Amino acid sequence: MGIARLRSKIFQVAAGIAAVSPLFVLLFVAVVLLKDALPAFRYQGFSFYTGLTWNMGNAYANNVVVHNGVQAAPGATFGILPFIVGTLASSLIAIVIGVPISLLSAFALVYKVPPRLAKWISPMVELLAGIPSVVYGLWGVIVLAPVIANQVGPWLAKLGSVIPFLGGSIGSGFGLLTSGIVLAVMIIPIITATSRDLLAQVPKLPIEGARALGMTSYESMRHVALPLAKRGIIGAIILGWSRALGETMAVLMVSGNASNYLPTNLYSPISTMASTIAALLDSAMNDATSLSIHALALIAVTLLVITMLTNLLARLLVQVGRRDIGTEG
Amino acid sequence: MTSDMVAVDQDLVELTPAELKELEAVLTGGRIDVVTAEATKSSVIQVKGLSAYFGHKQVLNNLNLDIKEREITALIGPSGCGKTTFLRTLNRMSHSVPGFRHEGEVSVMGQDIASVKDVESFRRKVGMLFQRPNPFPMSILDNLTLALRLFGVSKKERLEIAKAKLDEVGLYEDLKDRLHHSPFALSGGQQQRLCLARALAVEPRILLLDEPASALDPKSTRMLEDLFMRLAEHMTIVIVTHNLAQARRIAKRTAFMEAGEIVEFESTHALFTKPNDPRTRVYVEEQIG
Ligand SMILES: Nc1ncnc2c1ncn2[C@@H]1O[C@H](COP(=O)(O)OP(=O)(O)O)[C@@H](O)[C@H]1O
Ligand SMILES: [Mg+2]
Repeated sequence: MGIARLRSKIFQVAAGIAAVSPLFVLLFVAVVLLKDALPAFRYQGFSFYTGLTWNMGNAYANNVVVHNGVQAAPGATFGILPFIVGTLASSLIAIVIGVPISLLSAFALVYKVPPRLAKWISPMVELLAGIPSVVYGLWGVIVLAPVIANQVGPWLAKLGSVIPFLGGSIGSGFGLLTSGIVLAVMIIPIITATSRDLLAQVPKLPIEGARALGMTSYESMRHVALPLAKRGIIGAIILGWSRALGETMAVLMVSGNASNYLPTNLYSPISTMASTIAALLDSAMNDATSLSIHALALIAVTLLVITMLTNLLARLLVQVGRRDIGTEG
Repeated sequence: MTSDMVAVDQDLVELTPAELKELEAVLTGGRIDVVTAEATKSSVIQVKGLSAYFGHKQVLNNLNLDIKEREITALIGPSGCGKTTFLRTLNRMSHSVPGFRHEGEVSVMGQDIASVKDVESFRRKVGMLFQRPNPFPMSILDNLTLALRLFGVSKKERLEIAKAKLDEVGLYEDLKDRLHHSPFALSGGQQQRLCLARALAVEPRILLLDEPASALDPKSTRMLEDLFMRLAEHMTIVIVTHNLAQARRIAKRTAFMEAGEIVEFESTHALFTKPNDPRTRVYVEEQIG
């Protein structure tokens, strides 16, 4: 009896801790990061977000400069606009390429592929979502970048006279387009899996009504199923987008690691916020004033806020989407 | 059109004065088709030796029946006997179920359903109403016009059709100020009538009804039945119903199905009053209790 009660007590406490731990982890991370990031903001101010130049200064100089009470290596200036642009642009390309493919796959899995086949294909979507990003990155390096540099790029560049952003130098194949495509490949499984589940939940009856009325399966999907699952699917897209915003390794491998300038065309080397943190951490450690580390922390805070916002929005929309389907069926 | 073209049905003898008056009105309006003699009514659906399967499971077994145009034919029978499957075979909805296949010949408006190439155009001619109302997730008006829009009907025409069809199902007065509202706030009966108007908007010649009133209250049910009777003046209706009284009220002829077979197919009156098959008798007696 005594042991049973003790066990139950232990279980309750453990469950309680487990339940609140995500919140504490998040708070802890946020507080530590903020505290770490603050000096960088004091030093740089809002030009942190508008500046083009990222320079950690001369780490080997004997003199340090002091600005707003913050010590910095001489010449240090931290502008992350290129990283913000790189992040947004690459994730946007990922969305533009990935969303139509994902929605088509989800639609096909729910309505077109025979159930017996879908039973085999569906788990593979989840499998793809679970592949480590470094594997996708390696694929980008070995397969995609050469294709972009030698085939896709020259072909797209012909459209440069119509859409200037497509023209210009193609470079090595490491850059914005390659990053965007790798990210697209990474988010397709995520968006596909979620949209597939949402579409599968759409009540059959209105769709049958549409088919019986002489609409094609595409028309029924487009006009009847999609509106019912719309908000949920938007949520799924934002979920994929936030994944693309935060992806580090794969982008680091294929982005070309540019800094100090904005992409001039579709093939320009870029850096994203996440990949920059990873790439510069090592050299930032050499900064005796620690300001470079603080600046990287500020990038992390910025990324955290953006990702949290998109995630929050995504969850909200998915929730609302599920509810819609329940009541309107 | 001259009146000597009108073949007179024996049924005319039994008409009430009110019906006669209506008939007269129809005749003077030139609508002679309404009184075409029973004998000359042609079969719009002909079923010969229809068997159907879901995978290895046989659901329909050698059905034979002819469904006459411009009248209501009812299908009754215990649940699971294949009524829905049969009905949905007629507009090839069953065929979209993986593993479904049929044998035998089903001719709908002269076309063998097995050889239908353009399923979409075919289905426009064969409307369907389901067990529960199934409005689309869009405004009342869009529900009525979506299919028309996809078929390329002009906006002006779409609006006219939508109004006419709403009027036809008796909803226009109630809904004319709410055309842009969601249909989900309507009562079940109104939703089902909206779905009927939606089906009618593409001008089908045949209506397939699968227990269309099973989710509705008696008043809405009667309202729908009146509509069906009126529609049957110019279109063919096949209705599945578990409500025998409903079959008696509206159907000219009734088929009793059991275990995937048609046990008996007779004029409704005969089927209910002097069934030939003992299975029909047992079922009818049990249901009416
Ligand atoms: N999609 C399906 N897959 C497999 N079997 C089905 C399917 N739909 C119906 N059936 C089976 O076919 C038989 C007839 O069903 P149904 O036509 O719905 O009967 P009813 O409408 O008379 O109740 C039932 O035994 C049912 O289980
Ligand atoms: Mg049924």
